[in-house]
Amino acid sequence: MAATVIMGSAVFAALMVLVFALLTLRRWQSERRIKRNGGELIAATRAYLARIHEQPVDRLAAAIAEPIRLDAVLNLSRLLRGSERDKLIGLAVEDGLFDLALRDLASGRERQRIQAVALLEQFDNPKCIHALSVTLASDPVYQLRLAAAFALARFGQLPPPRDLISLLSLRTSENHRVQIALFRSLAPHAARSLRELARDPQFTAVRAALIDALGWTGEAACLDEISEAARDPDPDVRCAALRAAGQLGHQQAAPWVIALLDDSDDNVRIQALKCAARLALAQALPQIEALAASPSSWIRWRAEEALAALRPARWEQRS
Amino acid sequence: MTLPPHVEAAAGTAVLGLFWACFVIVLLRNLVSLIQLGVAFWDFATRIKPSPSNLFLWQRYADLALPVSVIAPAFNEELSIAQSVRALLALEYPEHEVIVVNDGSKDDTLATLIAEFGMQPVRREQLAVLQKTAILGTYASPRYPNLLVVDKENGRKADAANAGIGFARMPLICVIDADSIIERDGLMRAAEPFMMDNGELVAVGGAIRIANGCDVVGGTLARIGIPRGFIPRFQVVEYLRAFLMARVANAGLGMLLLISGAFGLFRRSAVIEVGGYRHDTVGEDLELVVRLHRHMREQQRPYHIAFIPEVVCWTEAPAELKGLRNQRARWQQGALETLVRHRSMIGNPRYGRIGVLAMPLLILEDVLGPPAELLGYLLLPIAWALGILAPDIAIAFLCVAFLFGTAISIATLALEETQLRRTPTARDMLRLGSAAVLENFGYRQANLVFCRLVGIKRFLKGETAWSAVPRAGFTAP
Repeated sequence: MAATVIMGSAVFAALMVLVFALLTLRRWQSERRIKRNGGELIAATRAYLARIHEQPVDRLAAAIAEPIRLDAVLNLSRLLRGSERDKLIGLAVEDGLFDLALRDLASGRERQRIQAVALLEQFDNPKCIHALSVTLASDPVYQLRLAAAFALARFGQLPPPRDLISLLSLRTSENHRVQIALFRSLAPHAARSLRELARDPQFTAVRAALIDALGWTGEAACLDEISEAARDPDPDVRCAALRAAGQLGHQQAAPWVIALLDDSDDNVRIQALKCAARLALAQALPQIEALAASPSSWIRWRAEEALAALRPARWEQRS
Repeated sequence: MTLPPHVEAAAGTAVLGLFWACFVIVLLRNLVSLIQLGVAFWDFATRIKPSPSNLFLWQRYADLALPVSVIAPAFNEELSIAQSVRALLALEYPEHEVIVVNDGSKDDTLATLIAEFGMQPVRREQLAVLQKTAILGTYASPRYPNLLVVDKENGRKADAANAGIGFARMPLICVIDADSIIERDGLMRAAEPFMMDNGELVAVGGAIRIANGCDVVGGTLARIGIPRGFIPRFQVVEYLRAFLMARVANAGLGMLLLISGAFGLFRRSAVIEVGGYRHDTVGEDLELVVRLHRHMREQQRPYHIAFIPEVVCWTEAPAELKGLRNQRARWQQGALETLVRHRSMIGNPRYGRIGVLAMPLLILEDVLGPPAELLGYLLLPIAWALGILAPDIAIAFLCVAFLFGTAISIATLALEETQLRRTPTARDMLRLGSAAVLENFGYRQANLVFCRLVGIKRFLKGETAWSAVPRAGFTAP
């Protein structure tokens, strides 16, 4: 036994020292490379800037290694905006800088797919978006599908709501924040679908998130579904209706928002207070004043906030 | 004087038996570390880091990001409090309030806050009274609407944190030390698991690093460095081992028992439900998490406690032996107090893996481990001199104690390099690597004798005093 312990400890220690030595060496080489390639990184950056502005490029820049060019593109993509950025990413695609990541998305190794998504999600280019869409549709790992969905949401490129619900099994998910964030991202482009789904009894499980998203469509026509949701027996749906009405900022919602100030559910009353403040409903002042004396601390606090917004008082008077 | 042969034989057997017990305990501790290392490697390999897209969406839909009350208990912090509060107010987060609790400071901490931030007395309702001492006043500022200062009689950190929790209005509370340096986006990264959660998550711990040797400007970290002194440098290795290996693994296995007092994010309702921090222990951070586990499991409610290995916070480590002794003795005493208080959980299947695995491992780590290792060092030469210990057994013990321990530390450094890469240069890696070897020759043993045993002694004597840890302060470039 003693021999096994001695041998085991020695082998383990030797192995770890070797691994650490190799990692330190790798870091040292990387530092040297950075020093040496500093010039190359600058050259690659200049070459991309020149190409963006259709100016002549130094021939030597074409020989710069792919990782350095990718670094240059990553750095520049954080600095450039609009058409210059689009052109830069187009050039990177043309140079095949994303090819490795695109191939890795099909890899059987989860780690490689994670790294590929992390790279591609930085570029709102059709090729990257397509690859992320494929990941969302077919990757076996839920967390990776979700990561792809978040990236597509950021670019405003999520699939239609019905597909998204199915791909991410949102009807069985209990994560309302994720549902809401994704539906809100869809809202500006998918108002009609969201309205249909909000009326469809098959989608009751995600109704609160769908109603909330209607507020982000910017379409006053959605107020029909929103005001209907304000009478829903589920308090989460009523809260969502209030958030949506506050976001739309339409005074047409005033009657039912004021009515919900007397709702039986504390959370609904809190949302109603927030909504009344956002919509600047001065006619709600008497009810809000009454809520400022509520036995619930949370309601009193939100009522005081609403009063402060509706009837700006001297700061010192607020507690 | 010669002993009768049968007494001599019995004494020899006792020494040998004791030595073997120590050997087995030290071996078990190292095997547990090895398993934790493997789990941590696996966890790192398969985890999806919070991506810029996630953070972008939570920023865009700011009302979906759960608001946070950051609670900073402060005692005699007049020199650094203004900078610290400015850094806390500047954290990148959609909605957060900062509650500074002046815990009866004897210096001008309160006056500094009032002057620097234009604080004025206000009436603010305390939603839950968890503290034992009196609240002397609350102050707010028209210039900084998300800052609240609570002035109270001196208690201890637990009491000050409880007072702050009572005033917190946000659904999440982040309890920190007043001198903790939180990374600009640290709060967002720590709160992100709550956004992705379905309501079962009750707390999140984050990795903490040592700020000694770093440049700190305006309460924020300007440059990462490695401490010059060996005592803080050894602690860098220890922190990496604790946070990147043990806590990542324990969280991955659903048995995280400790969220450091320097930075912890909790669901406010859960903390209030269990009554906040306990005042009668010096290990209130460990005790709170154990109590949360206990409460949730007794109520048979689904819950989990997470840990994010990315660095969220930097803290100053004691640079002198005296400060180190006070800190470590306190940790040791706190662990023992928690174990005794929650002894009914130990080995109890009612508490699932917390009772059956995590608590026994805490005993191995904090009750049996330190004295066993120390006793092993003492018994080894005695047993050898008596001729009752085979040389290969002695070498095996030394291998387990020194070689294996060093290998675990170096493996953690490798983990850091492959996954986080926050060590600035290859040269700094070598410095930490050498510290990982050198700590085995004196530092670890000193830690056992002067720190752990002092903690055990204080626990046995039932001491309740809080030993201060002197700080040297941060350096500017």
